[in-house]
Amino acid sequence: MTCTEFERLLDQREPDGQTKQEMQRHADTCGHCRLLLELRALDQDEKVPETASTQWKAAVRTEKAKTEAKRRSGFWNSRAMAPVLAAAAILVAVIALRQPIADLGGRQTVPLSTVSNEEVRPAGTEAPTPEAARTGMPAAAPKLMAVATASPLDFGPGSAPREEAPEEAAEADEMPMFALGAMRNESGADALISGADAEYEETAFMSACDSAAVEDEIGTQPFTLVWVSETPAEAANTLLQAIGQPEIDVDMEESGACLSLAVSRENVSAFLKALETAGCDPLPAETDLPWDEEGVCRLELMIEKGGTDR
Amino acid sequence: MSLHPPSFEELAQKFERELYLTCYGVLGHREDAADALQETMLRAWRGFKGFRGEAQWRTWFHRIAVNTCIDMLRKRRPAASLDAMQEEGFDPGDTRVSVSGELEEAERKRLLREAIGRLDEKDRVLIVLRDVRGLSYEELAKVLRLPEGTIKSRLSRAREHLKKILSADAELFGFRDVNKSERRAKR
Repeated sequence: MTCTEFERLLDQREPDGQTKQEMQRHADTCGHCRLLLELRALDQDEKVPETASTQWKAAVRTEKAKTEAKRRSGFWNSRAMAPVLAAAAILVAVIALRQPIADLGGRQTVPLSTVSNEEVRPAGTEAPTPEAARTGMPAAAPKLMAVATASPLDFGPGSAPREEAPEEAAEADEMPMFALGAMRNESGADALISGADAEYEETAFMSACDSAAVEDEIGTQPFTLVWVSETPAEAANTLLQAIGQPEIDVDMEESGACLSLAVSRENVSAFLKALETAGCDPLPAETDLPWDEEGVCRLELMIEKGGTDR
Repeated sequence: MSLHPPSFEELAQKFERELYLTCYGVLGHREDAADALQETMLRAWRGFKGFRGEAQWRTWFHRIAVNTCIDMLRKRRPAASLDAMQEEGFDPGDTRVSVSGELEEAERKRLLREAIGRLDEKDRVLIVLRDVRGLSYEELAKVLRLPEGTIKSRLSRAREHLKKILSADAELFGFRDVNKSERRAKR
């Protein structure tokens, strides 16, 4: 038996008894192959500690819950929801105060904080109004009615509908994709390569960008590129070709991918040129990239199917 | 053939042991391996999307695990390595026990792990993934994004480096020393 045969047999799941004996005979006389045998058996008796298993499961559960909460709050803060929330808040206020709309005209707006103590009777010291008797509202209700006549912006802290939200959301929707990417850049991606004017749905993929650049230390986290493309495989292969790497499987068309790239000093110019052609924004400078001592830069390229390519 | 794509939990559970052992092999400490496994699973969950074939999941998970371990290795203070400590005067001593075959086997494993820990990160990753974990050259090429030919030549060098380290314990590992006179001098 040769060493090449030995290594090939080592990869077999369950070699038969005779083969095992032949392999052992060979290993007894060949230090190299004996070493391979021992290395392959190194982890035989190792188990995953219970704590390690529990630890990662708990961490993933927590992460899932955070992502879900973010998704839900995104829904509630969306452009579509803001007017609904504003209307609901006004309706609640009107119902609570039971003041006919006709009576609201002509009242002066009195912010709550400017009402002096003399104007407020201690609760229970004045005769309840018919409405108060019916609803059980405390005697301080008239003061609240004054506030209720004010515009929503005069509501107390925490109770006002976020009138800023519709404008913010409108601004976000009108932003071209690159600007949207710039917003996301604050949370994670170092650069965005994308088709413009795309409807983009936040997914767990994007939360990967949030976490990908948690640490700023150069060399600890790879430089992260995000590429939204209708043809993710094509996009990835463009960059891979630029750095002389083999092309990736076409089935990435269906699902997108996260690729780790290693760019050397020799091919970084071609790589940056390919990024520039693709519309990368911001285009990193060579000095921005995290180079290790061997002149290699590790990058994470996240490709997501979607959008409209230029 | 399953009619629906596997959930993240199903896949993660399936590859849990492999990934833990890969992390343990590269990092050399069980606690670090547990931390690396957690970080690997978190990164994997964040990037989990769509359906891939079984083989692709394995390489995908391993790629994340390797990157996670490399990040952790780079964060470690250089003085934590055995070589650096010995340069500062630390002597691990001769803890070999050859009373029985079992003890010797356990000792061999300990020395093997120690020797792997003394390799640089590139060699270490290759030895752990190929020789300890048994990933095929094709899988290695996908995990490390290197051509198979490059993997083979680098692995060959890594094995030579490992043998050189182990040759200091030639009685246990039976390699011919690179330089016999050096070994005599150490004694």
